[in-house]
Amino acid sequence: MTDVVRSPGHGGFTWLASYPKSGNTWFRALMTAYDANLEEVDINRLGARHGAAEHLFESFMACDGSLLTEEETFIARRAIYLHLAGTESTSAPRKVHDANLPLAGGELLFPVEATAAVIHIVRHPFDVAVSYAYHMGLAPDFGACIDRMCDPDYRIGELANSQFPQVQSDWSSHTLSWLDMPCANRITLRYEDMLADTETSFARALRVMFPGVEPDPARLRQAVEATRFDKLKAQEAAASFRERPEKSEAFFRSGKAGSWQDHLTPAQCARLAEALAPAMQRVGYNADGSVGPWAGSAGA
Amino acid sequence: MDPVLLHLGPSDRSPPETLDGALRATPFFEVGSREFLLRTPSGGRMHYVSGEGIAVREPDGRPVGDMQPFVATSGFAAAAWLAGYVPLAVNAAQLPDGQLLLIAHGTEDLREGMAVAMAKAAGLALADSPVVINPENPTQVCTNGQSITLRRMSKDAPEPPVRPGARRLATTLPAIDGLQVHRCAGMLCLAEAGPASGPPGLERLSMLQAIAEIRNHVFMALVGKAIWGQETIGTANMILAGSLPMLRFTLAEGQKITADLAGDLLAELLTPEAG
Repeated sequence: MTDVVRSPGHGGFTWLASYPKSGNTWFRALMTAYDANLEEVDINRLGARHGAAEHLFESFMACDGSLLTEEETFIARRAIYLHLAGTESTSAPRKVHDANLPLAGGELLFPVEATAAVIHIVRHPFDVAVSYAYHMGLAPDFGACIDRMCDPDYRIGELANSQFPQVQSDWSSHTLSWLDMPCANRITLRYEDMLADTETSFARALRVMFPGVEPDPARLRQAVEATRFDKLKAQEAAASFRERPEKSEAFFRSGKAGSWQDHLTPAQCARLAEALAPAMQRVGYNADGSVGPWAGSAGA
Repeated sequence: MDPVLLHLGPSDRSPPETLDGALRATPFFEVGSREFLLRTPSGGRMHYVSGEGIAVREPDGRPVGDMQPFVATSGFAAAAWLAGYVPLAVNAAQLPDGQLLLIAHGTEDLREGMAVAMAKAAGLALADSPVVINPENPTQVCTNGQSITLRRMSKDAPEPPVRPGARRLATTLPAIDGLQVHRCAGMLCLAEAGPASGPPGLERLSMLQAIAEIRNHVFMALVGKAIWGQETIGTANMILAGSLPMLRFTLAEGQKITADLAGDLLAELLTPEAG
């Protein structure tokens, strides 16, 4: 049980939004450890349900979700988010990998009216390209992964067994869609900053999720220690991780910043930097792969 | 029990946009004490009233018959709930003695894969989800008369979609007769190897495990809850779990579902000790 409470009027969903392989799962582990005051976290029992989980929508649609067309699933998701916004009382965030782009009618897939808070995590796209390629079983063909990361129409989950399709779009559009979401309770965290000072980054996120409640320093420290990368990786090696895709050898692979230097060619880096420049510049990601200073982004 | 399919006669009335005095309403369905209304995201509507059949309004811009897959699943399930039966999100295979084996798993590809593998191994007729069971007499089940449909797991799948754009495919495997009430042989609950799973192979479920399985596979539970109330559904779940032979088959690590595996499993299930 959590002893963290929402402030009055704080209804709706908390979206834990990120491009894949950007620290979403790590954040969920941190949240799970902090929320339950755990000294160890079980990677197969992480909090934060999937925001595109088909069973959620099937319940409130009274139909088999696989009968729907892709476009119908997006209409359905938005409507159900709005329907549930007033009743979603759990503190656990919903993990989402979609870009928050307008649907055919012009409305955002994740409506502000259904949103209590947004925790948005970004990671330098050079490192994402490497990690995502391993995740999808494409490595060492990093070019195939880069194709997807630069494709504005890129979708995932179209053939998934338990998720509705998700428009992931290109990395830049994805990042900008969340950076520009007009929501007061929103924060964008950089993976690299989380690595450098996990406690401070996580505390900032908690303050956004639970306005007016100061995070407990002892629990923060414990959550950070419980979710050290080497511990999560060792757990996966010992007992498997149910979220690891079949094609991926390991979900927790490197966890470092800058590993792109061992994998990407200069031409691949240049392609990413050119195609994804708008969002990279916004969050201080340089075209040479370095991470520059950034004042951060929070709220509308 | 009478076959639920017989309740689904077509009606000429126009489906309403909303129901008066709905017991439960979401953006996509409303349910009353004797009626059910479904609205699809494309604007189609389907209205079932006990004793008055089913009325359909096709959505604009979609092909004729677009609502039929919803009639065969949601309409069928709503009619079952309103008639006092429980629709389960399971497939069924008709064993050589005519009894139906219910096949359950939380994800569709596994249960559908096992059903198809059994059909290939032993030439069994199959039923699509949902399958309806009578809690007053759990030996009685009926189907919607549809052959199994499959989740589209590959972009170049050869079978046609059950409706254009849907992620569900229609196969041509033989269907179990939906106009008959069949005897239920039991439920086979599939499990994958994983950190929380038991040893591979076949095992009988305890009462508590069986209740959890039944609860997990109830179809359109919110509709049932609105009509019956949670307490009655809980009682029905316990009756079904206590009356149905329920077995779990856990796959070994990396084991794929094949016709050979399904054939061996069927042989094991049909030995007297298994039932």
